[in-house]
Amino acid sequence: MKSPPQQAFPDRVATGFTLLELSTAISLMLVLATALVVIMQQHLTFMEMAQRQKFLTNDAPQIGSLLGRIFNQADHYFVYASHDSAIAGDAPMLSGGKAVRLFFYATDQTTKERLIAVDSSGGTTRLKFYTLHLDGSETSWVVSDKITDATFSASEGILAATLQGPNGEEITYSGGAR
Amino acid sequence: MRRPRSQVGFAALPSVTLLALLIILSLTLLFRHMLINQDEASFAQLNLDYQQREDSLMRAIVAIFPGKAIACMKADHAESEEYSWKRIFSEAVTLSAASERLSPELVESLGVAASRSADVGGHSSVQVESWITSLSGVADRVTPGTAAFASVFSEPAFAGKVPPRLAMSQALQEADAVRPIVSLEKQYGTQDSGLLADVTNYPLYNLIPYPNMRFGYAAPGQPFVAKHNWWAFTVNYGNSARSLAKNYILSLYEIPSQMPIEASTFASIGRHEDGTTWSSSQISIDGTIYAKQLAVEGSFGASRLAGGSSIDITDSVSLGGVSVSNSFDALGVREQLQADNGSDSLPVALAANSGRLAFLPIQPGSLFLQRPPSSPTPTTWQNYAIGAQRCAVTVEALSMVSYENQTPVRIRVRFLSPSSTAMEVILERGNNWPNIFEAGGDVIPFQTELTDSNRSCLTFRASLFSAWLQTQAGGSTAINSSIHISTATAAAGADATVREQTASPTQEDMCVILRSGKDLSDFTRGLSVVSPLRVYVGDDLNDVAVSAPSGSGLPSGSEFYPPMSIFAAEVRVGTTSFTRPIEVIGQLGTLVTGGTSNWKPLDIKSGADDAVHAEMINAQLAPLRSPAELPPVHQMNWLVVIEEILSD
Repeated sequence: MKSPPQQAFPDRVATGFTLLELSTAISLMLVLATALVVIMQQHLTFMEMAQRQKFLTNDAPQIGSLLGRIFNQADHYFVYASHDSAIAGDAPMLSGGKAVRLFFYATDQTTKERLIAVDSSGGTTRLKFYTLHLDGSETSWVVSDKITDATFSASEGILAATLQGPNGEEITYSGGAR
Repeated sequence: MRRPRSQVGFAALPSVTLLALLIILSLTLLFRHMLINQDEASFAQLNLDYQQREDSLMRAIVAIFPGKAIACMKADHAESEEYSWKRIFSEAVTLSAASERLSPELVESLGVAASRSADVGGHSSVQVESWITSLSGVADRVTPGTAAFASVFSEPAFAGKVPPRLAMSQALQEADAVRPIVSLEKQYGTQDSGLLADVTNYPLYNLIPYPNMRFGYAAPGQPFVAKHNWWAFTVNYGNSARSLAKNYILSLYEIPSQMPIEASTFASIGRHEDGTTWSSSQISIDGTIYAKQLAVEGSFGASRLAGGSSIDITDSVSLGGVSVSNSFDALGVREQLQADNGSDSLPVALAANSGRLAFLPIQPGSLFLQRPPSSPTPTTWQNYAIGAQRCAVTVEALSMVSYENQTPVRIRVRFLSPSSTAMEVILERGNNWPNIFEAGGDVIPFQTELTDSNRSCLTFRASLFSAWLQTQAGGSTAINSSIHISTATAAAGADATVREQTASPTQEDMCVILRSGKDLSDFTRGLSVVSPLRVYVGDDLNDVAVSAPSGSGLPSGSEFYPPMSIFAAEVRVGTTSFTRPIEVIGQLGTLVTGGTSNWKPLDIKSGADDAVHAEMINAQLAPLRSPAELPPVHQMNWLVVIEEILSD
């Protein structure tokens, strides 16, 4: 009786890849990897763009909303060259100021004053809100430390604040009745 | 045995899955950022909406309130829904469209009930009204600034933040919470800080600082003569789920006409009718010039210009040291002026530019000179707004020589007794009214004469009036300080010889001459003459100074003349064609309202109806400095303004 021939590597025959299969797989892997790299690159670019616009999309609207609310409550305002200039009561200016002094008229005919100014001390530029007290002292809180600069203008009849972001972005918010 | 292929898998599968998960994660983060941004935008929009709705609601209240207050006075403050605070707020809500909002049913059907609403109104005016309450939270009511509500204003949130309170009867104070009460009975009761004249002597109109506002009837903080009525209320913005409460004060300043030149019509400053310009060496103006419309050719020292709707400045003028041109209201120009002056209160301002403010001259026109019929009883409004009605003394011609000769032969004089009850005397020629040449005629303050132009006149001799009142057992000139002189109507007892009054006096009509008025020191509260007829100023008037009353707020040693006012259909200086130099000191105004008439304040006519030449006119026009300078009869302005009570 003739027995069937013995196979030296019976499993390898069953699990092996043909050259065609291997080539296809490698090609697919290459295409897929290339595509993924491209997609990843695009995604990273997109994320980077989004990150660059974070000031305009996230920070600036919050600052603008807050400023708009404060501006609209003020009965009057004056723009000054700087915080110190506003405190000293120097001549107000119409545009390009770094500080705005806000006046709120109370029903008892007294006037409350507040100040919003750009503070560039310590190597960081911040927009700060100052409360001026009767004894000449002041307290403050930071509106935002995400800006690189801000200017105020009153030349068009309403108070405008132009904010500059870390990537040179610029956005202007206006408020305050004429 | 061969293993199934599925158990082997591709190495790419987990790589793809991992990468996909990373991308999904980053996209989710981006999406989250977007949602945050949208949330921020909705917050910003919500705030904007709140502010716009607040502003429109406040402007609507300012616009509606004066009409309702007047309606309440016309109804003698009787209770009515028509002019209640509820109706005022309801109409303001409608006018400001604050009730435009999705109905709760629609919100439910859209499935957005849980979402933040950008609507800041209610779905119905009724709902909105419920959000406008008194400071105590009672809907349809306000908290009046009167003594009865002192406990509310002593709460920490309001203490020290509200103006001086007024006082009146308890019933009127309670009514004031339901409907606006403007009344001569509403007076200052206590000497609060901010009242610069003695409230005992000047309880009705006191000396108070001009409020902080851009409409410069006066400079902010400058004392002016007025009464400050006010009411406080709370508005809950938002909806039943989320709301923001703000407290406001609605103020009505009753301002007696007090500026050197005031007009509710078009006023032309700086030029006479014949084209000659006012002489700056002879004309001086101190204070504010107000007119509904102003055309200005020189300031003549005036420190402020206040216009109702327009101010035209021919050449730049200097107002209190500030140079102002016709473009003062242009974009950027006003701001530059404010920056240059370091103040938002400019010396030139238009009422029309102020949203939450209304300046309303109470100006009934020629009706100011006419007493309304005694039946039906004149309303509170007529007693308030019509100068003739405010006169304590009335002199009426009941009979004339003839229809052609309007020289009176019988007059009726009504005046007040010391206890302020009405008294009456009929003076009749040939009976108890001797003429100037007959015995006793020289002590009667009422006589007759003809002018050079042959006009028949009733002459009022002011210096004789006080003594004559005493002989008649009447009250003093302190209460009999205002005189209305006219011809009576047939219904009021006039006979057929008396001509009916016309809107504009004719050559045949009776006239009035004022004489012997140089020294008015007998008139301790001043003297006012009101007449729908032509009035001649026959002699010098009010040229003797007296000492300033105590508590008047005037510095001691101030030059003071008893306050005097003349309101007439026509005023002529002198009774002859001879024109003497004329010196006018005080204030000038006109009863003309609206229209396109061009009022020239210093166009003065002589007794012969000729225009007095510019060189003959000297004028020193100045505002009132104290309520002591307020004549018994005066014109009135209302200044309505709304302010928020700021929290600390």
